[in-house]
Formats: sequence, structure tokens, C-alpha cells
Amino acid sequence: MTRSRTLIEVKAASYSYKNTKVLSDVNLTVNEGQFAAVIGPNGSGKSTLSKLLNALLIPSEGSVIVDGHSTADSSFVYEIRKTVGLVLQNPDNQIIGDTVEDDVAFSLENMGLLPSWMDQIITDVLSRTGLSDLRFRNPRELSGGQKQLLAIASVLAMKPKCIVLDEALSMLDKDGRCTVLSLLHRLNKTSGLSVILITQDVQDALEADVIFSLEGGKVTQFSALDFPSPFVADLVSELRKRNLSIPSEVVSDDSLIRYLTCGGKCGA
Amino acid sequence: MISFKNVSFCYPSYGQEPKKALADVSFTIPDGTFVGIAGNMGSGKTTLCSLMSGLLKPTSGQIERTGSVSFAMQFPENQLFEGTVIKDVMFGPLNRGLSEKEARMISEKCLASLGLGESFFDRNPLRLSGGEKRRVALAGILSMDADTIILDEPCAGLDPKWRDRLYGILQDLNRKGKTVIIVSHNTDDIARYCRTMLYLKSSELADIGNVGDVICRHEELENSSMAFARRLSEAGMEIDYKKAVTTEDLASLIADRQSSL
Ligand SMILES: Nc1ncnc2c1ncn2[C@@H]1O[C@H](COP(=O)(O)OP(=O)(O)OP(=O)(O)O)[C@@H](O)[C@H]1O
Ligand SMILES: Nc1ncnc2c1ncn2[C@@H]1O[C@H](COP(=O)(O)OP(=O)(O)O)[C@@H](O)[C@H]1O
Ligand SMILES: [Mg+2]
Ligand SMILES: [Mg+2]
Repeated sequence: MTRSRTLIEVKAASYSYKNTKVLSDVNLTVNEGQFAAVIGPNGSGKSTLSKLLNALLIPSEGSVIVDGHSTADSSFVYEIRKTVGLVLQNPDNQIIGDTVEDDVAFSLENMGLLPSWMDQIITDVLSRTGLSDLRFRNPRELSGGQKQLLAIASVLAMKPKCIVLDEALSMLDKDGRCTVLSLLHRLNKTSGLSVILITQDVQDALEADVIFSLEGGKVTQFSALDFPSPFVADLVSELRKRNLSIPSEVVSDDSLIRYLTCGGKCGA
Repeated sequence: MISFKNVSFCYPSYGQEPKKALADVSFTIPDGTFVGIAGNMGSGKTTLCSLMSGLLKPTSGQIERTGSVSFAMQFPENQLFEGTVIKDVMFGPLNRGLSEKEARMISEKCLASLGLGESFFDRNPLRLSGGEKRRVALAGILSMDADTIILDEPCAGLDPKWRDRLYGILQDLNRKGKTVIIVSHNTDDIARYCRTMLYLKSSELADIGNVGDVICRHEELENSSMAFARRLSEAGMEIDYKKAVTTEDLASLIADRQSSL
């Protein structure tokens, strides 16, 4: 699998709601088969960016190129939405079907798929996301986490080249997160699915190939290696409060365990 | 005080077999408690909150409750409806009979405590970011000044800074005597801030008690500090990892160990 082909290119893009600029001069690239994470405080423009990527919003300045087409070119909107699937921050804004099965089917019908193909795809995607038992339930009667799973399943069913998840895992329990994250990582490795995971959980972001951090309308790019684990950072600061000296190069849990269990006598 | 006696709840599922979302649950939450509720997806947390707040009536069993309750539902931002942020927050206080001036004062205070200053007051709540909407909705709950505050996964979608601030606000309210009940999947947060933990497992009450004790009794509730402590003990450090309920506990255990060497 070649990893170098560019799938999404954001070029000097800015976005303003009325007269407030929320993104300014953003540049970033996501390649085919890349796993990217986006982090940043509330209101920093993560959701705005996600909508720019699938032509729900068009940049006020600059451009967003998806698979070679500018999102500003209205004749490619359909193509672009098929290429980049977006899971919204609030599943209630996305779920439309009267049963779980219908909700997935609806997105497939939109792509003009034959009903005979649909059944198999629905069965497959519901089983991969752990929703098989809920197939005939009314989505409005699901728990919050179950709704989030359904929103993800409906987007995955369309087999986009890239999936953007806007804090779409925030109400899943440990098992649910694990199911979804390992499914995404597997599709990423085996089918070259590009993933853009918007998250408040830095621990999840650390698993990505690249981290885009948004703040004050600007994007900074990091590699996961540059990011200390928040838990380790917290623990180290508590240890220092208790007069233990921990060298600054100890930033991962493995290195901290190694350092602590050799009585501080060996290097990290 | 909230007390459940053999409470069960079934959602009416038209035609199909009724869905039991909560089965034979009994417990008492005394006034002034800070309770964290944990449990897997679909285990009945939201159903339990809705019953505690009086939004749902039990199918069987008895619920007793004293004092006023306000309930921040899951995705509380879905409940925003006024044209401006300030009006939305003022709705509750006005409804419980405060004057326009009093209502405005308390609403501004609650918004400010969640980082939403004057520039937000006249904005349309629907045109805010997800986390900002969440904080407007939570300010509306706080402005009710109820004796018991119930929050269903309020932290999902808040950035770490506002998550900590929210817990800080709840801790202050709890110190002033309010009962606080919060649902979260994050057992690090529950261990750090709550004193009592209520654990639901497939529609049943699996456990309720002191946070540290409950976490220790159920492997699947193991949080970051306990997991780290377990790895340390496996790597040869002699510590009782079950005592590492919070990061502070863990740091103290390690410091004691190092100084005794
Ligand atoms: N429809 C809108 N009209 C006007 N301003 C908006 C609109 N949507 C968002 N904003 C503003 O744009 C900024 C960025 O919002 P955005 O939703 O992109 O942030 P976010 O990073 O996704 O935040 P969160 O973590 O809270 O979801 C915020 O200051 C917000 O108030
Ligand atoms: N309105 C409803 N009608 C029918 N079933 C429901 C409804 N709301 C929730 N359920 C079901 O009841 C069970 C418990 O749900 P809930 O209390 O929301 O769980 P939790 O909050 O722990 O995720 C789940 O199986 C869910 O699908
Ligand atoms: Mg957002
Ligand atoms: Mg729930």
C-alpha cells in the first residue's frame, strides 16, 4: 500500500461566521491511509474544520482540495461527500431512520445502491460495530452511546475513503471505544481508510500517525512522540511535589515504570 | 435524600416484549453526598437518572425523594430553545419566581463560572460550538439552585480544562451541602472527585459504596492510576496497587516506598 498519495489538502484556508474569523490561514494535508488526530479546546474550530473537509462549509479564503477537486466547485459536492464521510458531534443531528437498519440503509440508498446489496452491507457493518442485537430497534430509543455507534456505522457503511469523527466516541464505554478504535485502525491498515479523529482524549490521539492541534484559529502539527501522556505528566508532577526527582526525559508510562523500579539508579 | 426500594423500570415497546432497563434496584443516597454513577452502555444509567429526577415513574417499587432536583440530561444542549444564551439560562430562575433582575444576576454568574462572559449573552445558542452549547445548558441547570443536581455524562465533549472546572464547581456546591450525582465513564474522574460510587451492570445494581472500595471490587473498573500501580508491582515494586485509587494516592504510595529503601 502506497502511503504517499495526498487525499485532502487544506491550503491557506480561513473561515468566518458572519464577521468572526474562527480559522485563519490553515494548512494541512492528509494522505491516503493516514490516521490523523485533531485536538484543541472548545471553540477552537475543530467542528468547523470537519465541515470544511466534506463541503458542508466552503472556506471564506483559501481552498480545500479533496481527491483533486476543490470543495468550492459545486459540481463535485456529491463526489466529495462520498469520499469524506463525516460523523457529527451530536448523533441526534444525524440519525434519521425509524429503525437502526433503516438508518444505515438510508445512507446507502442515497448512494444509489441496489437493495439486494444493501442487506449484506448492513449485516456486516452492524456486526462490526456491535449493534446486531439492536437492528430492529427505534434509534430514538437507544442509549446515548448506542446512538453514537449507529452514527459511526451509517457512515462506515458508505465505504468512504476518509472518515472524519467529530468527538463521535465521547459517550462510548471502554468496550465500545475499544471496538470502534480497533475497527478504525484495522480498516486503516488493511483497506487504506484515512481517519481523522477529532477528540478531547489525548490518549487516543497518541495512537495517530500525526496530531493536528488547533488553537486560536491556527493549526500546529505534531508527531505523537512529541506528546507526553497526560496521565504520566500528572503523576510526575505529583511525584515531584513529594520531593522525588524524575528526569525530564521520562514522558511515557514504560520509561517511568523502568525508572521507578530500578530505584532511580539506572537511566530512563 | 433519594431512596429506591425494589425499583424496576420497563420501556413500553410497542408490540414487542417490554424492555427491562432497570431491575429490582434498592439503595439510599443521603443528603450532601457526591455520587458517581458508572456502568456500560445500555446498563441503565440514563434510566436511573430519569427515575431519580422524577422524569420517569417506576414500573414497580417505590422511590422516595426530599428537596428539589434539577437534571442535566444526556446531550443537554438538545434542550436549548431560547433565541439568546442569557434568555435560555434565565428561563429556569424566572420560572421559579425570581424577578427579572435576580434571574439575570444568577444566570450571569452561572455562565461566567463556566467561562461564558458577556460576549456570549446575546448570541444564539444554536450557533455555538458543541462544548460551548454544553456549558450554556449546564449553566441553566446550575441556575436552578436545586438541592440535588443530577448530571448525565456532562463531561463528554468538554475539553479537559472545563471538565476540571465543572467538577470544581460541583465540589464547591457539594461542600455547601448540595447532593451531586454524576454519570461518567471516566473512573479516574469519579475516583478523584466523588465519594460514593454506584455501579450498574446489565440493568442491575452491581455495587454501591465508597469509591475506592467499589473500584477495587470490580476488575473492569480499574482506572489509570490503579493500572499503573499494578504494572509497577508486576515490575517488582512492593506496593499494594489496590490502594492507588487516584493519582495522588499512587504518588504517595511510590514516595513512601522510595523513602523506605
Ligand atoms: N453557526 C455558527 N455561527 C456563528 N458562530 C459559530 C457557529 N458555529 C460555531 N461558531 C463559533 O465558531 C468557533 C469555532 O466553533 P467550532 O464548533 O468549530 O469549535 P470546536 O473546536 O468544534 O469546539 P467544541 O470542542 O466545543 O466542539 C466558536 O467560537 C463558536 O462559537
Ligand atoms: N425510550 C426508550 N425506549 C425503549 N428502550 C429504551 C429507551 N431508552 C433507553 N432504552 C433502552 O434501555 C436500556 C438502558 O438504557 P439507558 O438507561 O439509556 O442506558 P445507559 O444510560 O446506561 O447507556 C438500553 O438497552 C436502551 O437501549
Ligand atoms: Mg465541535
Ligand atoms: Mg445514557
